[in-house]
Amino acid sequence: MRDLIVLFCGLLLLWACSEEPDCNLDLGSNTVFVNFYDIEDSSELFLKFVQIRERSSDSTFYTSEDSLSSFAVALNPDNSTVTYVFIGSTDEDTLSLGYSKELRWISESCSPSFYYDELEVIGSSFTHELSSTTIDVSIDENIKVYR
Amino acid sequence: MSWSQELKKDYKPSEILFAADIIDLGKTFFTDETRLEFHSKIDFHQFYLTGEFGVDKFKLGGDNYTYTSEGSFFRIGPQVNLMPYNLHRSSIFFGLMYARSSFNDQINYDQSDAGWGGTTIDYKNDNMSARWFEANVGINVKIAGPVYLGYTVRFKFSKALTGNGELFPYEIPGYGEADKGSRFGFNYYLIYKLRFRNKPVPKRPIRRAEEPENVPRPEKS
Repeated sequence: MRDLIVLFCGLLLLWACSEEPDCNLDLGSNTVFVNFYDIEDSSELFLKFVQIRERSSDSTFYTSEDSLSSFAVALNPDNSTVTYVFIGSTDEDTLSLGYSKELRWISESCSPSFYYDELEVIGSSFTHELSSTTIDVSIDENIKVYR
Repeated sequence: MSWSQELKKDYKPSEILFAADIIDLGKTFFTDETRLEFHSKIDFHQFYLTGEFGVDKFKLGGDNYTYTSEGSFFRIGPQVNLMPYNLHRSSIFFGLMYARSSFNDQINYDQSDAGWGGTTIDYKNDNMSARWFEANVGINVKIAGPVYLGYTVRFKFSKALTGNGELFPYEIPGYGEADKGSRFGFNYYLIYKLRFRNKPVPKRPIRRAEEPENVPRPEKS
């Protein structure tokens, strides 16, 4: 009888529950932040572009009239490299990035999400510096560009 | 106090246990998943050599994806019976195991990342494998004749996964969620014990008071 009590106590383990993740909080980020600085004194540089788009597609990431010092561009989930074209009123610059990506699971109910990492600059007409190879919601600067 | 008797060592096997996880059997019969897990063990004195085998086949689906996974796993390792004196041959055991799984998975995923519009992505991982170790503790209790019920609680650790591409697997057969470095597991078994040799249950040692030494005897008058 004592053995049976011990046996069925084990059933209680079936009710052990685990914490469900928050789908929105745990989602991966696909955003790279390109921040502009003055090449003379490294102060924030506010710029206005006509357009920022991806070179081989019609994906456009910026058409604002606002002057900004930080531009957010999205990584391509279909590819592991991407080239952005920064079109100014008189000139064009390019920024080519490489990265790793993985489709990972938060939970069954949240569905999978792309996670990006190991960011690198594989070519650019800008004078640049890679600040962070990590792509995460907590990162607000990945690449510094000096003009 | 001292133990008057030690457990007599008899390493010749006397029984083989065959067990099936009844929770997994229920999932297989009553859902569209296939989850089967069996184990067998043979005794050597108060130790067991245990082998386990299982198969997993399941499908997940959400608003923007369909995922399937299929594979098998095995575990092998020694266990020690911590209750060798039980007259019903019920047991509480502790064991260590090496485990290995081979599996494959695939996903059809509709992504709609900002800036890129929507595309459908198909990923497939063939021939993935994983290994891990387990410490387990469990109990087998006699129900009637050669039929026992039992459970095993497992701590799975030191996982290594190889062979995956850009799709990270949801689950490793026999292990659980693939992104976790360690996991707890629980199995509830229906067990058939096949005895092929009569091995008497050893008697529990009895504590007996030692005779005091160097105590002077009373002299005869």
